[in-house]
Amino acid sequence: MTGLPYVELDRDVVEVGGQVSGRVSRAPDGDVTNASRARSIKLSLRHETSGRGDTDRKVVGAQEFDLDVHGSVEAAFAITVPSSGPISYDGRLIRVRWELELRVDVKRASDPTAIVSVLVVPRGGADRYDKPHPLSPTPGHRDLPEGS
Amino acid sequence: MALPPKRAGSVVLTADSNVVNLAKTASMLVPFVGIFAWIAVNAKVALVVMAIATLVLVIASAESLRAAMLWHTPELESPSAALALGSQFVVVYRRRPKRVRDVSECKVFFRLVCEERATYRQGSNSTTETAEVVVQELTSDGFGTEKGVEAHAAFRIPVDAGAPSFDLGNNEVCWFVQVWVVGQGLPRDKHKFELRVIPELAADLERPQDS
Repeated sequence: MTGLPYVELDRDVVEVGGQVSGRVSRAPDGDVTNASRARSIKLSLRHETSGRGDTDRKVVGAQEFDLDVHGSVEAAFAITVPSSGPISYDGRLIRVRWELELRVDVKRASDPTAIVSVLVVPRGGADRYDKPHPLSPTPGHRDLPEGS
Repeated sequence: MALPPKRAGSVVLTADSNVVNLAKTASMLVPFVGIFAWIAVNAKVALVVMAIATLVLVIASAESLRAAMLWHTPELESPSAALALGSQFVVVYRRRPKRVRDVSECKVFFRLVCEERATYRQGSNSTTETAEVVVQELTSDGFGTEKGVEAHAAFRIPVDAGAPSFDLGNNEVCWFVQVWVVGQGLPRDKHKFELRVIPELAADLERPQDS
């Protein structure tokens, strides 16, 4: 039996150029009499698009952690978000999502994975934004009819 | 009206020239012209069709051709190459004639646009869909200077509409200002000037109140 990985964020809203930080953890395997089959554990920060266009995805940072002999881990992490973004976005044709993926590499078994969403906002906007752009129409904003 | 001097740190953006646009259009027509030419060897009808198509092309591009012959490619002066969200800025449109020309009063139309561009492939075909998600339209009085026609327009990048510029490959958000002029003796072609909006709030932006 293998333990599930777990990611805890300090904040789920991060500015571009800032750091996604928190703690990763995994409980020891149920069978502690033998060495764990878990070989490594890796945390990746990535963005991925969905919508009308073909998917663009990119891993912008990763961190690996040492597991103890029973496959458990408890560690802090910090990964920097590129200052160029993109920010999290929920537009008309395009959606951009940011995620942290914590994956345990287990010998001869499927890899347990934990995925946590992160909201990436413009620099200076951590206190202003609590969901992806666009938030609301602003003066001068005008939705044009489709096909115009 | 006195001309404001070019501001320190400002940048001048140049639009695609009419000649380049025409060359792009013409290059797309090359295969069709080739096919028609091949058919023309066997059929007089094809010659007539080709003549009509050429006539339509000439009429459609006459305004661009005329503008390219008489006027230089327009310029747009922007206060910065990178604009922050919430920033207010003034752009200055300028277009110089190739010969000295008396420019009467005119109207200059500006559109600030945030556009999403999503590209997808089906087999060997690639299609790009676009959607204008922010549009700000302004009309300004243009005036003649010793260097041609000039007009100013003030915009503000919204803080919560559209998105900062990005290009991820298949998915892109871009900002541009589209400009065209209406006035006697002035070219009626449209031009686009790309802007870059960075994922950063303007420094002078009012902070949200603590609740």
